[in-house]
Amino acid sequence: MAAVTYLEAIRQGLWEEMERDPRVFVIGEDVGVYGGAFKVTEGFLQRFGTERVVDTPISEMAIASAAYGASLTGLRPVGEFQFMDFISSAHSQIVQILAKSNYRWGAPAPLVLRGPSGGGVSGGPYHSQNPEMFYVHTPGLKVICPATARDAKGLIKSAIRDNNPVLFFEHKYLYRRVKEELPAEDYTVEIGKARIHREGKHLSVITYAAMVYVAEEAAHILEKEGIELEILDLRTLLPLDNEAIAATVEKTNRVIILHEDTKTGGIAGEIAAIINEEAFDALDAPIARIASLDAPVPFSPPLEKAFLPKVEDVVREARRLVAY
Amino acid sequence: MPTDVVMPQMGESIFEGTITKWLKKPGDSVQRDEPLFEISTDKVDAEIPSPASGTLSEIKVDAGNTVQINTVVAVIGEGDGAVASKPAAASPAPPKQEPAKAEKKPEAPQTAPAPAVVSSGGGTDVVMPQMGESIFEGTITKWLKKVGDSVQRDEPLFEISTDKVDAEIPSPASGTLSEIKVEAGNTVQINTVVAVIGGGAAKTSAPAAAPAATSNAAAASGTQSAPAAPADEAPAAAAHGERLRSSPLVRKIAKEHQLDLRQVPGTGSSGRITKDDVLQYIEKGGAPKAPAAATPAAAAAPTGQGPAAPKLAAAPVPAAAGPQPGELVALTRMRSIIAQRMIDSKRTSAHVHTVFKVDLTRIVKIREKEKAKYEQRNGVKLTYMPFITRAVVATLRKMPIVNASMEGDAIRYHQNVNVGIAVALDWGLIVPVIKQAEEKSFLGIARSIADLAERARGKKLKPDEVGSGTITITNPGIFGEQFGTPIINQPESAILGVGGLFKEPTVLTDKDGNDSIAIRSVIRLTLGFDHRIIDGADAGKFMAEVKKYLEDWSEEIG
Repeated sequence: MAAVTYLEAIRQGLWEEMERDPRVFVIGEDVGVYGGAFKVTEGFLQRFGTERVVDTPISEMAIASAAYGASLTGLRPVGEFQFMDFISSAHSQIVQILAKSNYRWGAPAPLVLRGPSGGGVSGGPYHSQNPEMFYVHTPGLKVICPATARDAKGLIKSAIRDNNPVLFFEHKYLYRRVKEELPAEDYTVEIGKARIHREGKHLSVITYAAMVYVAEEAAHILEKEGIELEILDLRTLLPLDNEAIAATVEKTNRVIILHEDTKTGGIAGEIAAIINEEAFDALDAPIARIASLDAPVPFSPPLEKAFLPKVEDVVREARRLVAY
Repeated sequence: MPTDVVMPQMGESIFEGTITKWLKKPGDSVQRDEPLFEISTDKVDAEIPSPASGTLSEIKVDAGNTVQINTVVAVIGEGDGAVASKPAAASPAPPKQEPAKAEKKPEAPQTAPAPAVVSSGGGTDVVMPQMGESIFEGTITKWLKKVGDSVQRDEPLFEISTDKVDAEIPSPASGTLSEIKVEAGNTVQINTVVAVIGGGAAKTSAPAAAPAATSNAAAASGTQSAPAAPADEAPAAAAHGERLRSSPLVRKIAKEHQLDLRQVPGTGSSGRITKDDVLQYIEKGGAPKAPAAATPAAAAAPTGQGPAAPKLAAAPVPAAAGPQPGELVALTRMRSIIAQRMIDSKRTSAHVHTVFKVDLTRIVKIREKEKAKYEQRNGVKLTYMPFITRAVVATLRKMPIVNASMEGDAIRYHQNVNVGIAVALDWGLIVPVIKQAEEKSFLGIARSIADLAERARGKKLKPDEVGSGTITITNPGIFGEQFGTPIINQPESAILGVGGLFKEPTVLTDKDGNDSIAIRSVIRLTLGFDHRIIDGADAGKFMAEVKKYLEDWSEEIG
């Protein structure tokens, strides 16, 4: 079987769920005739028709609100935001209504809001952000950030089948850059479970999305020095897999938390606190955080490179911690 | 499994080392404990033995490079599966007799210094600043404010002394000095919080002795890890200011095995006990290690030979006799550094001194005639020092061997002439450097000397203005000395001592060969030189040129 891109994996996941369940439909800007800005829903209109592939005006608030309304009637909508940066335009609806619907009114909102996030493509400050932490701080939501094609497909399917509002942050840098063969059968990946991306014994890098590959590259360099990195791909940020986090710390005793989101208020702080609570006695060195600078994402390629976490950062911190 | 060879930690406050020479090439076979490479650190030069037997398969760091400790510098193949990147594998070698080049600047850039201001708990933390690239600690010599005093932002708060400079440190914020955490006299690592400004009511807290690693730390850790010391004496050692460094994991393992961590030698950063240290200790049956297995600095200290043990306080005192009556005053940091550098220099260089009498009458006349106008015109006093400095710089361009340093088995001929000017201070001595003096005019040099001397006395020198000298001039003649025999400022190879200016009867010979006696203004210049690289003939030629330059002075003074 041929290798499939991260983007194609998401497309397949959506397609298969729409084939499987007539309640599932997609809604968003240009998802129909145009097939989506990144072509995730290309061909959907022809296959599923205008009833289930709904083009909308340029309003994230309208997409989130329409999806919520539809979910209350028993449908399972998948809303697409052309860029996750603009999820802020739907912030009130997501945080005040979607996240609290079941708690406040006993009305589950089984819907998915998905779209591309992340930088590394010179997209500038409005098309490169990682806004996931606003929502990780909102009980009632689930937040998913896959790193591999296999996980992207398995998790989009789980998200659609989940009875809670799920925010699905795809990483646009990975869309056409990572590829792998996918299982032929219908499979899902459980929400809330991290995955060991690489086994190692000297130091753990806890990360997610595109930074998994930065960690992987660092691991290849450090391997030559006898330092074996373990890479834990969180996959889901809400709920976090505390057990997997504690387990990798118990195993290697040293931790770097790496994310593309900016540092202050990023999930590294939360994870450091979890490690402190659940695995303090397993630490043989301080917990290190590597994240983007506390700044808007620069447009200029050299500035963006300086802004994002780099392989060298991981290598340097790993050496420091191993020698600590 | 291949074995990594790492840069060992050669002492408590040493964080990097320079590989001066590889004793094996890739492909060579090497035995465990056979010398593999030579290093130079701020404290010692040493041969490092191989941690394993096998074939040297890769050299990752070439000679001449400076790397942080625990950096993998080579890989040995076909050895036993020693765990990678553990400095414990390399048992420390005794330091060689040749002392370190203390002034050697590291080539590896440090990361940018951390911000000096940290806000916490409503107050502003005052931290020990990093005063230069290779400086990792500083001694607080004096607090200029007491707890409870109010202080303005940028107002001098305390004085510090580091390996490079003495400086007044300004307050990072305005407010009330609410806590002094490190008392004067203690040495702490950079970025250590030494005081707090503001943040609620002032409290007089007992200064924390524990986090302050005193400058006697190396010696202290030596006693601490000595297995013979009874366990109940160890806390006393801790009370001397030595904090036991470990980690939560190490403490948990120690608890499970009912170990006394004070018995476990640490190989991590700053002697920290790592997981591997404690596991290795348990594996070896928890038997106390021989003192030789302690940190290299500790091992070196008792010998009193290596430069790692310059602590004069440890000078032997006859056991039977009581101390001589008199006040015992601890060395200031500057004093102890001077002591160490002077001893090191005497040990390093083959000192020879040559004295030349120079007739300065012509220059005295120029100076007498010009000095009032000169100061008016240029805002700087016209002294004899720029004349002598110019003569030295001009002559060094012709005689590069005097402007050179010994580096391992080679001589480094310096591209620039960086002239150190010894400045006497009420509290010691410092040698700021005129960098690239060959590019400066007479006036430029005069200005540099005045500026450096003034800022040296005001503790306003920047770290990079001290060090990197290629020759030094010292001028004790102002006190009326005839001539002295100055000690070379390592790693330079020569030092010029300027004697006092005297009027003396001198025999002059005119062009017809007639002698007459005249009263002339003369000084004596002494060149202290390192006979390892400069021979007497070179020194003589150099001094003859300097003498001629001064006696026939023809340069514009600006």
